[in-house]
Amino acid sequence: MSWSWHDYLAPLSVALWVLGALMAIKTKPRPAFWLTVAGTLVTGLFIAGLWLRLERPPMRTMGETRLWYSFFLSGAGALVYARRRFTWLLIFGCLLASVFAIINVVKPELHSKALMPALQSPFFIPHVISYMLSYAVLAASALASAIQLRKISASGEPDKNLDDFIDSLVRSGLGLLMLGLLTGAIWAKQAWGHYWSWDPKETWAMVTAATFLIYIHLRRAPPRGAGRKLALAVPLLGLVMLMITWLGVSYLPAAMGSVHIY
Amino acid sequence: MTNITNANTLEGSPAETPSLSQPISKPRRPLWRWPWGYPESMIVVGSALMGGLAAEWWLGPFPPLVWPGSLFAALGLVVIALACWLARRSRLVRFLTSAPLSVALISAMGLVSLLMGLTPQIVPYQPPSEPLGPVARLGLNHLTASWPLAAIYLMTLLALGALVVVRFSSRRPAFMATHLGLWLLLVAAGVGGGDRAREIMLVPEGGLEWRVKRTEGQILEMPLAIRLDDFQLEEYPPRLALINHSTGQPQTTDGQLQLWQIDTLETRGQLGEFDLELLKYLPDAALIGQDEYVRAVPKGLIQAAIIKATHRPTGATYQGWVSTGESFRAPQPLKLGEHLLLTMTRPEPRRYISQVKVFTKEGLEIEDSIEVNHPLKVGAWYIYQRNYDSNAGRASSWSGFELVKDPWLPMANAGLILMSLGSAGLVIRSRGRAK
Ligand code: HEM
Repeated sequence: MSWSWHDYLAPLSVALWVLGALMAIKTKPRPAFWLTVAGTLVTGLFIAGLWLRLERPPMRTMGETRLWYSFFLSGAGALVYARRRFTWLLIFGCLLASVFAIINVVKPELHSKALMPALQSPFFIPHVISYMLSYAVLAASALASAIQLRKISASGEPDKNLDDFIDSLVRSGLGLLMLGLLTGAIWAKQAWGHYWSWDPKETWAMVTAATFLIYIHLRRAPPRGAGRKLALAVPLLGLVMLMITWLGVSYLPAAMGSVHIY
Repeated sequence: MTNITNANTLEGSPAETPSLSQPISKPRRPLWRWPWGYPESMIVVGSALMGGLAAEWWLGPFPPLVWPGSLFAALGLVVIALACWLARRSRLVRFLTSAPLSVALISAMGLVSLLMGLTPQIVPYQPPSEPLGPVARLGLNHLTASWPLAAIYLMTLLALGALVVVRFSSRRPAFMATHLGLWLLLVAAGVGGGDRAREIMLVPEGGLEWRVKRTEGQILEMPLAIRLDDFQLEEYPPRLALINHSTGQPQTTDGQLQLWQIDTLETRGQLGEFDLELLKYLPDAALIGQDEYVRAVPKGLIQAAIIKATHRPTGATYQGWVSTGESFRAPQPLKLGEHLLLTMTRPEPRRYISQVKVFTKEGLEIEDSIEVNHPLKVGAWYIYQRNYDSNAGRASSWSGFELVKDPWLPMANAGLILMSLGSAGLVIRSRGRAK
């Protein structure tokens, strides 16, 4: 399956996701779940086909990582929806997954089978997958925080369930982010002999991790008064850092010569 | 709160008797009253950063610790951590292991990283020859070797060491693994950083080399020698581009370079205004005569293909060889009319392998191959495949290696593994523990 298939499969995925989100809005949980999952499976099928066709994991270019992000966002949205019925999470997952699928259609990239020798490592796949998964989960944690902030301004009281949910999103998202960081470090050691070289992408990943670490540690000892609100702003800041790490680093003056520019 | 008056005087605001009609929404805790919280943590960490800036200004960059100083420093950290256990009920140790201090420390680390992510940095630090400007004197252009970072790094090590010892508990495995792992990793990377050696060695094919050249031009003899018996490069199929004959510039659409990937599965495609067809492809080719390529066994140095190109608007067709180049021959293009050339791009490497024999001073002899992601360990040294003459491609006459020695490696590895396990634990048991 080559990239030309994407022109047909991406609209199909997007259509399924949009229908799934609409069903969720109309509180029809079953069709909402299955439509979303169907969209995810179509994208997953395309990823698998592309993998076979390219004879390498499709994780090298920006466009390829967008595929995974769509896959994980919609998939995670559907799974959590099935368990917890967070409509907003399903809508968010479907919406963002669609946006990235559409970017890939509108802005196609040169594709190539080439996988530079440094990328041919058993760490490549866990490295990229844990990052993409963590990006999906941490983005959801930021959205959940925004919703909680609105609830606090509206009723003055945080939603206790949502509070626990945000905590577990940040914990699992941060755990995945750390796994991405650590597999990257072990891999860099294997390939080049250095764990960490303050490459701009690495530096920004460190900033992102630090931001979410602040949230976890802040929650151990909530500061008084406006403290809960302050803590809830941290995942939002973290999302900004995350987007800079993923998409923005290439444009920074400090990023000249980064090994992570693709 | 009992001591509101005191609090106000401490903060320098006029003492006010609170009236009963005026509800006090947030009773203020006086600063520096135990237990210390967020304000104190921020002041302590902020002072450490300020002190670091002052030290940098007066003393210059932070000097790396070297063996055996680094060993004593690491042992000192262990002793301090153990001493914290004895003093675990003291206010100072409670502060050191408190969440507010951890937030302040992580924020400071994040801030320093942010600065490094936004501004160009000299990593690893090399002393410049010209006099330093104020930014350099404050350490801001070489933060990895600066006193401000060293100051918060040390505080973090003290806090983590105390935390692991004082809060030791087998019922919180993820917490223990992440913090102990981080402590080990930070000690190995920071305290042991000065003991790491990295040298770059270029070895000619068929030659023996035991010297390395530093960037400063200094030549150093190594305790091991490398003989390069063979260097092999495997390449991916190249891509085709249209080049403007007169300007030499490649053709772009909306600023995007247009390329067509040679692919034996998909032999037809389009590039610009041309339909292309791949008629023959030789991954290992050699030129014979003027314009004829053959498969060269065992290894041709270039790649070649016969391409048929049809100009869609006019129907004009062109057919002929295109090839990649090597050191002594330019790539061969196919002329498409007056203005355009169809050329092969430089192919990307798939694998490069150096067949070597390594000799050590102790008389050890090891014959093996080295490639990217597969370093060779010889005694205390790891030998990494680094580069080759990329202009010459498969005809490269030398191979570049990076030699790394790090006595702290096992500790760093232990830290990384523990942190990975702890992070996996965070994902698996993300619900957290009951408060
Ligand atoms: C800068 C270094 C760090 C410091 C100084 C630090 C300090 C602390 C402190 C003082 C606590 C509270 C312990 C308690 O109340 O028993 C804590 C808890 C915790 N830390 Fe860290 N930490 C650091 C880095 C990390 C990292 C890198 C991770 C994760 C990968 C992490 C994950 C956690 C977790 C999961 C908890 C438990 C939170 C909870 O149970 O709610 N910490 N840390």
